[in-house]
Amino acid sequence: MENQAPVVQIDLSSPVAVYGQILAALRTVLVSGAMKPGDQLPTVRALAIDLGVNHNTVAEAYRLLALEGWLDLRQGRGATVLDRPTPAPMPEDASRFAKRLEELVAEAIAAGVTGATLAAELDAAQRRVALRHLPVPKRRQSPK
Amino acid sequence: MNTTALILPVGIMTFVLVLLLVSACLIPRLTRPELYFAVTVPSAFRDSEEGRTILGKYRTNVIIFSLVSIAVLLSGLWMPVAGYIAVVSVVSICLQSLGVYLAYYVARRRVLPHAVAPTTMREAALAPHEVRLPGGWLAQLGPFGLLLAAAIWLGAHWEGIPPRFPIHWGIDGRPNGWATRTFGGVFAPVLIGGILSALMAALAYSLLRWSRPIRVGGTSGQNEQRFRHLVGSVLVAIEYFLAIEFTWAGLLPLSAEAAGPPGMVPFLVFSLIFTVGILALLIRFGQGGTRLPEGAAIPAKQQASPIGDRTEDRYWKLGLFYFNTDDPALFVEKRFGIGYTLNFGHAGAWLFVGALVAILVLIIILVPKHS
Repeated sequence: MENQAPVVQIDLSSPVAVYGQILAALRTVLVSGAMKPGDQLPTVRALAIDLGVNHNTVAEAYRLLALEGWLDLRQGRGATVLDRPTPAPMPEDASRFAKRLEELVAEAIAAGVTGATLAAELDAAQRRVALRHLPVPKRRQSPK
Repeated sequence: MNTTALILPVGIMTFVLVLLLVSACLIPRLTRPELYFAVTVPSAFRDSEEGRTILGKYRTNVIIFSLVSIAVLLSGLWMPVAGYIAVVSVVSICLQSLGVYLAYYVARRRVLPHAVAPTTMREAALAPHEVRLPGGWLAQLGPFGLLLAAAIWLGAHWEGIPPRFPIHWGIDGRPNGWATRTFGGVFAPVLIGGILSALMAALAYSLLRWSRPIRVGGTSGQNEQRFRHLVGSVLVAIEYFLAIEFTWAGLLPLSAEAAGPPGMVPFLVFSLIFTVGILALLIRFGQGGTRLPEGAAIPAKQQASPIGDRTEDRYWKLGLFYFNTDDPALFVEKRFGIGYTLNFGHAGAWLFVGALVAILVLIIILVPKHS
């Protein structure tokens, strides 16, 4: 199988800020392990050219990922993926993500997506973005 | 002037006009399927009845202008006046170019009502950009080595160069321009060849480094990578061609004869074969490699919006000139034609144009004055 580099996608018409889309897309790639510690990301300018966005937009996404501990940014050496240990979860993190998930579910249901489809998509997403230090829990059979 | 002597140059010019005619007729089918006369359209529009009608009218206009241009050129055979052939050659090329542009402009205006918004999706592969010129940097040394060898040979045989030697010949084969045995007179061709070869190398590198791939991944992404490699290879091939041409021109002082420059006919044949070969390759690939086998194509209904070249129509002036100050790419794919063009909204584009003008001025200064 040909070893292809992971691909990130953004939507310039999305209400989400472009740097936020780049940040989320890169974080997904990094969490999934598609890029290993030591791997080089494209330079800020190269990624900006490929995505057709201002280089400051890409620089901001890289900067935030570096703050999260994912990247090592050094002048002239581009962005290198670090071996980031999974931090201990903060109590407020679970409730923050639960709230975001609830909003996303509400948006999906309002658009006509069924509960079964939502559950299947969540399951698939967990498997696609394999959590390195957290085993994917087995699905419990819901009581009928 | 003997009419027979004009047949060869007129024949060559006629071949050039026919080549331009064929190229102009083919271009609309060589572009990305979702770009028709530089307008973003649904991928099926090109093969629709309206699309084919527009193409037919365009080709008819191109053929008419080309036939008129060829007639103007051939009039030179019946008016064998000195200098007339040169004038009608220029006029015929200009007339055909104008005709192609007018045909394109009319066709584009007919396509514009069918324009759709291109996709707003952008994608990029997370791999470091490794700009590799075809053949590597070692291959870049070839043209300069050839020119340097010619310069060394000229220096070693300086005394064998006549004090005054022909450097330009008229259509009748008689010399009508001379240079003297000075540094500029003797070494100008190899210096000019070196400058132009360096320009081609710089262009190949810049284009691969500062342009944006449209498709990433899959067969279409691989085809596009092959196309980008082809464009780089063409520029390197042109670099070698220029080095050979200017090496040949540089060595003329050692063998210039009154009856025309030696090796002129083989040189012209080589040039034509080289040009036709490159055109054939580019036609085979199509813009962005879109004419190469696609494999399993994405069904049209799954494509929400046309991808095109991932630039918006509003940034294209007349469909030919791209001007977008928010786009960091220095080069973008041409919308009508094969290859790339400058993003004139990028400051680097104007530096590039300025450098070209400076090189032209330098060449004019280097060219020995005719006596």
